[in-house]
Amino acid sequence: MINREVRYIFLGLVLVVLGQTSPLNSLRRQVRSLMGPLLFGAQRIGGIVEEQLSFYSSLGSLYRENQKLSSELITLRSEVTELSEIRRENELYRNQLGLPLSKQWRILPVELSGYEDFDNKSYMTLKRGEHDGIKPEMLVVYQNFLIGEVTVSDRNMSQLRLIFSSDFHIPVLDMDSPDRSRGVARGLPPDRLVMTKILPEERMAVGDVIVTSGEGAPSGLVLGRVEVLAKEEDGILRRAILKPEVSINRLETVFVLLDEKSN
Amino acid sequence: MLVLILVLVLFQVGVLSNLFAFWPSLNLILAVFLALRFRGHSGGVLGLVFCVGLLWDLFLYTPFGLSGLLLVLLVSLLGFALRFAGFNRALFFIFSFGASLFWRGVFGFPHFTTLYLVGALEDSVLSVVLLLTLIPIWEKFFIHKDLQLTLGIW
Repeated sequence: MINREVRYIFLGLVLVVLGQTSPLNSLRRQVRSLMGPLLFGAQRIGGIVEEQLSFYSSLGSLYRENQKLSSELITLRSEVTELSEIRRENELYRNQLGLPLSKQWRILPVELSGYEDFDNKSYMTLKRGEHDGIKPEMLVVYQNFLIGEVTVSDRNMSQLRLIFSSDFHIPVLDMDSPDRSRGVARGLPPDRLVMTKILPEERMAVGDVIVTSGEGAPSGLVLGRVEVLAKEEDGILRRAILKPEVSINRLETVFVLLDEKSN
Repeated sequence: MLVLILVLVLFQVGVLSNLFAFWPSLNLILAVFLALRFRGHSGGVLGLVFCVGLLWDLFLYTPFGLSGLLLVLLVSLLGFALRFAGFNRALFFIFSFGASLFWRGVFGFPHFTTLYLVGALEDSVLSVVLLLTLIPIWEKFFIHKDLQLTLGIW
């Protein structure tokens, strides 16, 4: 037995040494190429076996994940039901108050850069453009506050006209006024807006929140609060100076309202 | 015999190499032949393990003859150890662990990871399981030996 072991060990050593020579390497390559199809078949079988074993071994974790997802689904369904009810009530109240139904918007977050102020016109640059679907006249908001509107849009950048730019104007209403007084708010550089031609009988007060009225733009976007109420030059009509609620020059990211999808 | 060797190697290369994550994957062959040697099968085992090793080297790019040489060395060493220490179960388990670790160390040199230790432990457990189950069943049906699932060594 020992002789046999010694013989095999010696043979192995000889083969290891000879295996570094070219003739044996060449023979090895030829045998390997002959065995290639068998090897390929064996590895295919191995792959199939592994897939089956992986499937069965993952059954336990799949079951647990399934249970967890079922529980989450029940919770989400409950929340959807509640939200549907809230939406229904919301539409009911809007109908009652005569407001247009809410619409769903696609919003696009965009970073701001650059501030330009010339000739009482205030602009900032948006770091996205037509490539992302931004077009002129689209409104830009931050939370529920109106920041401005897109004026020019290139492929990758756009220009934002701020709400206190002298060339900005938008129909608004006073949501705190019993009359829901309507008017047009215009930009009043450097950082205010003005609502002009307010009729004397319309009940407005300092502190009232002014929002977009929904004419040509989504309703309910906040422009600011009434800071000062004063008479116009003619002495009959009034004007309200609005102070924006948001420090626009401190914003880094805003949201473009891309389009609307009605309910 | 050649067909048996070929089937063994292809099974190792194709099927088992996909299941065992730790290279090298001739570890099953090593476990089988250590268990056979422990059961007292000596002559044919050496020849068979040498040929399996050679065929394995044909499929891989390891130095030709190295696998066969190492397998014969390890099986022979177990034989030597058993001659001096007797059929000792603890010796078999420790030797299986050491042989598997050595095997992985040679082919993984100079890298070494703790996975080698885990793999060696798995191989030694595998050797024991083969020793207690498959090999006695094989002996019963192929060489008509009485079925001894416990060997009487525990």
